[in-house]
Amino acid sequence: MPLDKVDKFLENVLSYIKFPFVKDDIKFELESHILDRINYYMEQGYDSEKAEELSIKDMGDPKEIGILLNKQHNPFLGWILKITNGMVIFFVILSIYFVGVPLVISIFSRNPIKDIPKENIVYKIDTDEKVKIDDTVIRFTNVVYDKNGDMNIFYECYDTKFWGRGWSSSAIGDIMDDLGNTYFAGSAYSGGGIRTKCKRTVSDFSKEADTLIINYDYYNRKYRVEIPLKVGDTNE
Amino acid sequence: MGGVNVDFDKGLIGGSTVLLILSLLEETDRYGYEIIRELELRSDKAFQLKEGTLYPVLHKLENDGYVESYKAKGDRGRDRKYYKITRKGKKQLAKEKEKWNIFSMSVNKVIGGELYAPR
Repeated sequence: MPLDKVDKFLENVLSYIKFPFVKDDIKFELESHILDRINYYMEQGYDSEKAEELSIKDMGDPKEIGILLNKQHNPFLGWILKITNGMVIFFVILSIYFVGVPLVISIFSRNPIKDIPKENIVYKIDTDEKVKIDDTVIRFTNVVYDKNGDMNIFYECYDTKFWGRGWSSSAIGDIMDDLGNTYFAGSAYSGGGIRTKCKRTVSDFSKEADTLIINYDYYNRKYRVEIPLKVGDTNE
Repeated sequence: MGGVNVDFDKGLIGGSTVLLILSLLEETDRYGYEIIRELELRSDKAFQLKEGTLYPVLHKLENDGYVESYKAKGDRGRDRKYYKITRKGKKQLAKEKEKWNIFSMSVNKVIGGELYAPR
């Protein structure tokens, strides 16, 4: 049955409610009350039209109800609550994204040094050279020379500042040796997380070289790391 | 009530309304229409109020933390907004009852002397 009078009554009440987010809730509650009342009157033997009319009369003055309800739903406080709730959710999501996700990745990310099978290693040198570009710390941990002639440089990098990593973790500079060769060909791997484990590989590294040189000189930032070779454990 | 038509509806917002509503909610969780029906039945229709004005009172009670609301299916399978008294609401109810007892005792003493005074 069409309940035009009920709709009109509800519309009238809601016209006094200033805070939009409570309108649906109020409408639902009052409508459900009126429907219960209509059912009651119809059980008493009234026809639907009369039942609707009586039910709305029982509700009272829509203006009075609307004004009283509006007092309980102050739009100013309502908005503040809405906004603060929204901000809390926003910051929770943000911190999950910036802290939680890298943390999980750090925990589960593989250490790239395990990618090289032991029997392929010609020699492995442990080192602990730290350099800093802006707010990013790069710590060179190992170099591994393998049977394919590849020189693998392992390093971690992390930011001393929480926000904004402007530095690409695979750009560690030019790879050279003490014989004057510069190596371009190769690959780079970078894990995710707060403390990123990375690998830089250059191919056809000279067997005769005594020193590996990592030279960074870009964008007015400089560092130079020299790692002595052939002093670590040999596997030949 | 012997056919006396008492017009209580004006007093719905103030006075004993909070006491009546909280008492009914102390027994069980109820939705608005149930509260109205219960008031009607128990007061022999003496409390025939403008039903719509119940809701501003319920919303105020909720804002004050005396009741909480939740949606659930009532009879006939339709969703209803139920109200549930909180711990704070129960404390308030005890206070309201106390106030009411003092008030009614005092009124009875004035209008009926010893006869109406509680034993």
